[in-house]
Amino acid sequence: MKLRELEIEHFGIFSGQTLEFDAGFSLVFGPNEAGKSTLLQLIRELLFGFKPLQNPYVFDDHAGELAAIAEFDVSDGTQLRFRRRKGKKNEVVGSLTPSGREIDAAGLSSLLGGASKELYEQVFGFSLRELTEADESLKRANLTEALYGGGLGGLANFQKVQAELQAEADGLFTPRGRSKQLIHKLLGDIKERAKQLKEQTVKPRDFEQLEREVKEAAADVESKRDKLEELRTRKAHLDRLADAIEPWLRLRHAERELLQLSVPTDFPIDGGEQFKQRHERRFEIAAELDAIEQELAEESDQLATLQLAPQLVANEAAIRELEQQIKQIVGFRRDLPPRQQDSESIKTRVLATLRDFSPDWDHKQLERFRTTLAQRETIDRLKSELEDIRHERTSATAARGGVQADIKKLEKQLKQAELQDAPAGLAALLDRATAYERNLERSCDLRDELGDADERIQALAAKLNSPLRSALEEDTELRVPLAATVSEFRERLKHAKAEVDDAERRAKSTQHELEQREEDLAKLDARAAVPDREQLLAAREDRDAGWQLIHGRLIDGELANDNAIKQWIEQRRGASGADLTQSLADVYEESVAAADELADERQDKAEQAATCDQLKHEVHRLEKRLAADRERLESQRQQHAESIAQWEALWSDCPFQPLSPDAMLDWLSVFDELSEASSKRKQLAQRVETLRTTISQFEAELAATFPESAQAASQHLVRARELHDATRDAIVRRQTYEEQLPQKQEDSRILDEQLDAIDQRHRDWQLRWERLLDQFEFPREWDVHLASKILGGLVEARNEWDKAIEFDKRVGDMTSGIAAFQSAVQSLCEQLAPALAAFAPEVAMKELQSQLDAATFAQRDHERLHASCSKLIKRQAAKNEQLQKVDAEIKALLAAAGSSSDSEFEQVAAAAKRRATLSQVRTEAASEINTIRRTEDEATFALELANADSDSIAAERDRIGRELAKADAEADAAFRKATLLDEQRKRLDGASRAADLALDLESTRGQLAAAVDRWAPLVLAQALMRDAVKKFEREHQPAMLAEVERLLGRMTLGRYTAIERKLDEHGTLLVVDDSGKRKEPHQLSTGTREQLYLAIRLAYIHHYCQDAEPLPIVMDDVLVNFDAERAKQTLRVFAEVADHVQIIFLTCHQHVMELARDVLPVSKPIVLPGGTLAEGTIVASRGKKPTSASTVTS
Amino acid sequence: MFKFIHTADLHIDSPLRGLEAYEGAPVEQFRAATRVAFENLISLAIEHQVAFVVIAGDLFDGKWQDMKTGLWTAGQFRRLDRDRIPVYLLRGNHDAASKVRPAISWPDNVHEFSVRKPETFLVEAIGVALHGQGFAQQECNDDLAATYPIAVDGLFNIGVLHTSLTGSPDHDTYAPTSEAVLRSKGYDYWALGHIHQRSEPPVSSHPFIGYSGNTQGRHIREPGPRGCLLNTVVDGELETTEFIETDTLRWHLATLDLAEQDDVSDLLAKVRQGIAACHLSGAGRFSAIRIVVRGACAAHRELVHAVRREETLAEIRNLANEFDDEVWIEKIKLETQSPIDIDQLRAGSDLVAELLRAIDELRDDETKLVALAEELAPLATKAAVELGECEIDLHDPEQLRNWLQQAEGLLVSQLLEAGA
Repeated sequence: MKLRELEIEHFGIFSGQTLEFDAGFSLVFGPNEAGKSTLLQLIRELLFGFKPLQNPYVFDDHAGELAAIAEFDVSDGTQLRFRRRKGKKNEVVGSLTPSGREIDAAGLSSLLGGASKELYEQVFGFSLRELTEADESLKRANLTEALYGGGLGGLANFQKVQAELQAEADGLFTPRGRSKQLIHKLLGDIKERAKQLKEQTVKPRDFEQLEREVKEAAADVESKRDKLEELRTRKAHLDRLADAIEPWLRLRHAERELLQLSVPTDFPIDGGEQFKQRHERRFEIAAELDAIEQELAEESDQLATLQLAPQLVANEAAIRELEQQIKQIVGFRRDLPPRQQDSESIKTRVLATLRDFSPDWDHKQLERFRTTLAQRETIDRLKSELEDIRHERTSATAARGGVQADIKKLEKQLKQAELQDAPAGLAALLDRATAYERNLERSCDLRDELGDADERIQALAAKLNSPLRSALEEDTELRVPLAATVSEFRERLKHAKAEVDDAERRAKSTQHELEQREEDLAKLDARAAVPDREQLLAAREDRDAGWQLIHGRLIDGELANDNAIKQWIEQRRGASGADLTQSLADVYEESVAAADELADERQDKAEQAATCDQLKHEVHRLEKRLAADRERLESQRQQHAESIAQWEALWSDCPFQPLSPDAMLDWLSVFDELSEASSKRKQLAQRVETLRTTISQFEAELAATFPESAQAASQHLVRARELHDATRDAIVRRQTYEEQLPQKQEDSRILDEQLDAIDQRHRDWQLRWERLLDQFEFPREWDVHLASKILGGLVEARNEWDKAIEFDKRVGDMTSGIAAFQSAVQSLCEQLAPALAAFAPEVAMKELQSQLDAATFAQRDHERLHASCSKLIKRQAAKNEQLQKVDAEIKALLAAAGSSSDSEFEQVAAAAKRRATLSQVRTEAASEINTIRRTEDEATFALELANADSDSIAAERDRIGRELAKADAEADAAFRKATLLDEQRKRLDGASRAADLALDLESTRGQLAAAVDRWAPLVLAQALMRDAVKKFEREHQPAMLAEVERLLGRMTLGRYTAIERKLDEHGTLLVVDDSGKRKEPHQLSTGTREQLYLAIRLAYIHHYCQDAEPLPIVMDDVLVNFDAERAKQTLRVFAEVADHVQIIFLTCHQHVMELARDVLPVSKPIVLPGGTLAEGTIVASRGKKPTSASTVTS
Repeated sequence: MFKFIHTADLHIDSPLRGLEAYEGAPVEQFRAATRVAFENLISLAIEHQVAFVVIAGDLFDGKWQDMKTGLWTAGQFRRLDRDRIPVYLLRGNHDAASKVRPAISWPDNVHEFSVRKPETFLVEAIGVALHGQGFAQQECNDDLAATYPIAVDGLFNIGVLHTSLTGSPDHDTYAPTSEAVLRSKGYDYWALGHIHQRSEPPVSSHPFIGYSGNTQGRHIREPGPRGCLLNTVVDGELETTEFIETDTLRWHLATLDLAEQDDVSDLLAKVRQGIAACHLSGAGRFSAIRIVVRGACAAHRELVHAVRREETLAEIRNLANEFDDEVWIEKIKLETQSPIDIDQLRAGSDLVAELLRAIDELRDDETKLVALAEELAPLATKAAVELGECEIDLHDPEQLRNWLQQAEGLLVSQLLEAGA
């Protein structure tokens, strides 16, 4: 496939360019940054797709998507044209001509044959960078890599990949590896873990063994414990025997003594005490009996001496009653006379009172009033009613007088309160007064604001003054431009200024660069004067001219041009010699030598020459560029001036020269503010005027209301308000009077009615009073007070009379009482003591009473003594009985002891007491033995005790104690052992350590599997690579090798003729030179190594294209390190290759262009934008529809 | 009405397999996984007060020798004994091989079926007959079910059998039988064991014939929920069969496909999503996740470098730490491919094309493939036993093809990209 035309829509710096390419060899010239690398990348991506994400060739200023249209000649003779865009769908759209078959991405891929993006990048499209890298890698490559690695992206890559695979695989496993390698380590771990697992596993056999041991240990513990128990029992028995020996002896002793004692069986233990007690009791009773008999004798004597008076005692009640009356009778005799006198005096006083009321009234009249007195309450009531009536009348009359006075006063006030009329329209005027006052205030405020606005306008106007020739008049209407326009000019001017600065900077920089280059050139010239190309050409021309002359003279035999010969010789030598031919020959020889010398010198100083040429070229280019920069600077300056002129024109309507746009923007904003402030001031002034009119109008109306006065408006307003208030008060007062008067009249009428009613009630009362006087038969002329007073006197008199009657009755009662007492005393004395009858009753009674008292005492003593004697006789009898009983008991005790005397009795009693003590001892001992014996059989225990020997028991106890300690220790040991085993057994119920280890083991196995999974592909990959290379080598090596040798030979002008493989392990590549000498790549110069690399690449491409669609080769400045001859030769090789495979050769070097022109006169360089050629080139131009082709005219 | 549990294949204390250990891996959580699953089962029986528990074989792992396992298991059965819940235990092939089992004396509530002939246990109180015969040897080519007695009239008949069921008697060594034979017995329920994957739907619904599956998945080939069947029988009829999860650790396979432009950060993002999705589906259980990353992607370019690859693996494991020790990355398989169009490369006429065509040829030629395995012989010689234990067969064609695929990816990336 050959790329014939490329329309770049957008890609990197390219936008809208079209390039046309030769079907064979195309030369593309462009300086640095002109886009050569971009073009290389574009061709790569055009064929195999744009990088989808973060493509560095997408520029922000692209107006559209990344895209290009390409036209290819396909090797089968058809034409392919397609457009590729960056995207995921329809990225390739195109067709084949003439078939018209549509081509999409897949179609394109199939047209490209087996080529991949990677292959293309590594083989077909390469730059100096790849070449340099290849140069480095060639130093290390073996033959195979050198030959085939070309297809694998770097010659040493093949070897490197092998090494990496090997290294990684070896890191995992080698047959003789150690634990440093992962697989070996894991294998070791697996073995170790498996071993641990085995150790930690509790095997069933071990478990059964353990179970058995647990059981045996338990049985052992059991038997040991039994033995221990037996010993303990025996020892306890012996301990008990030892303890029981002492009480046993006590028991036996008591029993023996008991057998020896002789006491009657029924004799009480305390017989001795009883006997003693009975004797003491008998003595006490005898003493008591003697005392009783003596007391009885004394009391019988007293009884015999007493004298009694039974008659007096029998009348005791009557005597006592009369005695009590004595005091009363004495009282009667004292009170009788004064009571009689009191009665008489009361009666005399009452009768005198009655006679005062009426001469014919006596005490009988009093009875008549007893019945009517009940009606006194009626009189009191009537009296009270009369007082009420009088009181009510007085108050009603007083009230009526007050009301009448009020009515008169109100009528008078009403008459006074006649209405005063206020001036008409005053109220309406006053309604507007508030608005008037507010307007006055507002008017003041507005004047203040107006003042502020004036100040602000002055301030703003002052700010505006800077560009003005004269101060701005207030009403001047300025036609100023819009702020947006000014902003636009600001940008334009800024831009224009920046352009000027930029152009200046560039011109300076170019100037500087030029000076540097010139300096460099001067230095180079000074260091080694290299004949320049023109000199050489001139020398050669000279030489050729000489040859023409010699040729004409010696071969063609032309003699006519002697003059020309002479002239030529003279030009060189000053004068021609005699033998013109000889001179010509000599001079020609010199000119040949001179030309050769120049050529040799240039050849010798080729590098300096090239640099010199390059510098000259650079100088030339820079001069051109400087001219262009200056031109541009001038144009930019002009543009800037134009812009300034336009800027000033913009302000032509204003009477001033504008400042800078920035300043004018600020000015405009102030100006806007000023305009705004002015308009606001106008509005304010207008409002002040309106207010003033309103105020004046109001004041005029006010003055008209008070025509007679010439006062100020404010005083008029005060007066009007006073007048208005006075009128309003009068109205309010009159309304109040008019409301009060009917109320007072009504009150007067009610009071008149009340007075009438009171008079009526008084008349009724008079009637009832007269009726009452008639009832009492009192004269009708008695008024209430008189009647009441007389009635009171009558009641008092009657009470006095009643009291006198009472006194009379009491005197009667006392007289009869005294008589009765005298008679009773008389009869009693006659009965009991006739001697006393002669005494006054009161005296007789007193004597009788003292006789009665003496008789009563004697009677009482007699009764007491009689009772005491009876009691003493009874006690005497009881004591005698007790004495007999005690005697009988003493006798019985003696009989029980079988003794006849007290001393005998005491012996028996002592024996009985001893027997009791022994019995106690015996019982206690037996109980003690029982306690010690505990549960042992009683009879056996007693028998053993009877036969016990404390020494032998002690000996046996010692022996058994020792045995016991031993058995105890043994049982403990057995128990501990059993416990340990049991615990061991119980622990088996817990978590399984083996399970943990098994998990670890499995995990390690997992790691091993993963490691093997990584290792195996690495090993297989190496094997596969090895085999593939062998096969490829077998099939392709001879042909490719031959092609490389051919190409290298041509490029090196026959210096290197063959390629060989060194017979070492590595298979190092060897290059054979024309003398048969072999060199390894690192022994070659850089340029030669690059030629070798190019030869290999081209051979590879040649080989590749035998089976596949050829793709365009794109090379970027790969000849830099080649000398001129080899470069030429290489270009010739390219031309040869280009017959089959298109070559697009990119360069930034003019001399390469010239070399190419020499070698390939038909090639038409394409000059990228930014590049210029010395002569005769047509530049591919920018623009949508460019003039496509470029040609070289030479 | 009564309930009973059907379970099988508990393999108590057998280790979980294939988990790659790494620093920070929650090892402690997973060591006792099979025990916890069994405890869950026992607790379930007690909670539901089931009438009995049927274990259709493989209580223990055949190779397992630790007596602690047996004693602990007996302890769990005693828990059931305290609640008077009987256990009907059938020996599976693993139990027959187990050295632990014969050494344990079970509590009284455990009834083990005979291994010499079919045995029937009657539970008269609730009207149930259980028939079964265990494995006497590790292998049993006989159709054991065929000799089971006919159903007892008027009772709910349960057949307990450890079987590979459909296998042919000539090849299968695990009491092969057929559905027809099982049906012919007239039982109401066939409690089967041996297959670790629960039969869902069951082999048959009327009568019920089915596997309960194992109680705890033990490796990545046993993913998803694991548990037992809780059955309710009303009036002599099976009313409901409910699957109850007992596993404490769940296995997940997270396969992530990367797109062409995905790089390592995209890979990590997708892995994070994958881990989160898997873990969420486990409803709070611990998760063991195998990550398989596939696809022709940009990330591949980085992953071919050993260092970058190790870093990526470490980062993926680190992602698991975001789940508070509840996630264990079982294994990470980076099976990415170069985004380069290999088919196109293969069609070329250069050395790479040659190489790719050779690989393609090997893929289809088993003889050559096995011959290639000779390259791996040094390892086979060195570690035959260990590799066998890891179930790695260096001559297995399938395995070799997988490695070949990886080798191809490596070469393409290294040759065309790594040096680019």
